[in-house]
Amino acid sequence: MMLPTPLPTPVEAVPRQVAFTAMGSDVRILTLGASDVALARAQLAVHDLERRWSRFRPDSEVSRLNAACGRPVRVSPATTTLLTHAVRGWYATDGAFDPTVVDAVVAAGYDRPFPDLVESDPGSRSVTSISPMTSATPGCAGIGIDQAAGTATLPRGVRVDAGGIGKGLAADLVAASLLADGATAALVDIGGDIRVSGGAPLGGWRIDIDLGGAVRRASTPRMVLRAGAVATSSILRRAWMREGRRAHHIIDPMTGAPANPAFTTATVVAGAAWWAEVLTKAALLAASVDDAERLLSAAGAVGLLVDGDGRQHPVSGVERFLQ
Amino acid sequence: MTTERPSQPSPRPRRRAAEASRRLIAGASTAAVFGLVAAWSAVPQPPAAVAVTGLEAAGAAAPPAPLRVVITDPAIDRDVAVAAAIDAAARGLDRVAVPIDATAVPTAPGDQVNDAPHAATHAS
Repeated sequence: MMLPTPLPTPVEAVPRQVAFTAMGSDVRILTLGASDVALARAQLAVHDLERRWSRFRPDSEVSRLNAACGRPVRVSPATTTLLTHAVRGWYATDGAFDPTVVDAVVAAGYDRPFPDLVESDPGSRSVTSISPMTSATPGCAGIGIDQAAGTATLPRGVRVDAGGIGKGLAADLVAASLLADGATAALVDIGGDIRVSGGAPLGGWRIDIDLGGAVRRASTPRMVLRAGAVATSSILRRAWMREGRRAHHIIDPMTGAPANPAFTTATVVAGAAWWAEVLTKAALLAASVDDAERLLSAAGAVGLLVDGDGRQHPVSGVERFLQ
Repeated sequence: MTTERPSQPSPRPRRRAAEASRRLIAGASTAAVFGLVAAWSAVPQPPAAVAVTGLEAAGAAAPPAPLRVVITDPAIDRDVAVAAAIDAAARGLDRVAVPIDATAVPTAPGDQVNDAPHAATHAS
């Protein structure tokens, strides 16, 4: 296996960027030293990954897997990577991150692309005729991945979703492809899940932490990153009303229902965006700051959590990334 | 080619860490073929490959001894550490240094802080 090359020294170059919409999110790619062709290829790569991974596209590889009823399905290397990382994340978080929650998410009301639920704020997103799940999600123990044959197999009755890992992994893959395509530095932001690679600008990449409605007073912490990734998850976004009660997309795998966590928002810094994104889900479900500290420390990551009272809790040494 | 998969029903999530670790170790030749055990504390670690099939499984006469990976700096990316450890072990080394991914840029007193962010992380 190849060892990573040392980080290059900071570079001064004209930054170039492209912004568009994909994976149900705003996407922004900033590069130093990339050509127009490389940027265009990066944009196409994001759309390609969405075509392969979206559960809302019946012809996507994930949808075909979910419909295969236990039969092996040929998938691309990118999807093999997605599944492998998803299962590793399931093991590493002791099931707190679970890519098999899709049936529970649908049962809770998230059965279509989020913009289609209803426009405007969570108070007016209303879904009826829901049959909530009342049992634990199936988990990943039975998922089979045949690297040599390029196939994946889900146990009958198990469905997977790239939500919770897909945007982060796409950011990792596209950042790597930009560097391979000649860029000296890259920042790939897909829906707020961000990977930075290559030589950072002088002073590092400056990344604001948008806590949304999690804190009452105006507070936008900023971090400076030379390399790695940061991701944020929250129960305050992607929320809707269900039979008079507020529901959201963070499912507790133990119950199959939207979680009632101690924290409303979790931001995690890690070496890769897929890993940061997975850990945000697990951190949100931590029972306490101490539990989150243990989780992130063991994972080699750091984080910033916000509780239900709007208090911010730096975890595992995130202060060294904050300005 | 066969797909390695446990025959037992899927376990409930949120197992205790110790039980999860025992299941990981006992569960298979899947983990044993790669034979990696990352040395962390309470959180169980995933095997390097979820289900090993094809040439890897067919060619493995016996599982190699587990490789204990001790990461001494929490800033080190786990994937990078595992890859470096495998490479080092193959070369007969018991210690390897890797560049730290996810690095912070410390701000010294008097540094000019640019007020324009490059990006914002947020829930979506």
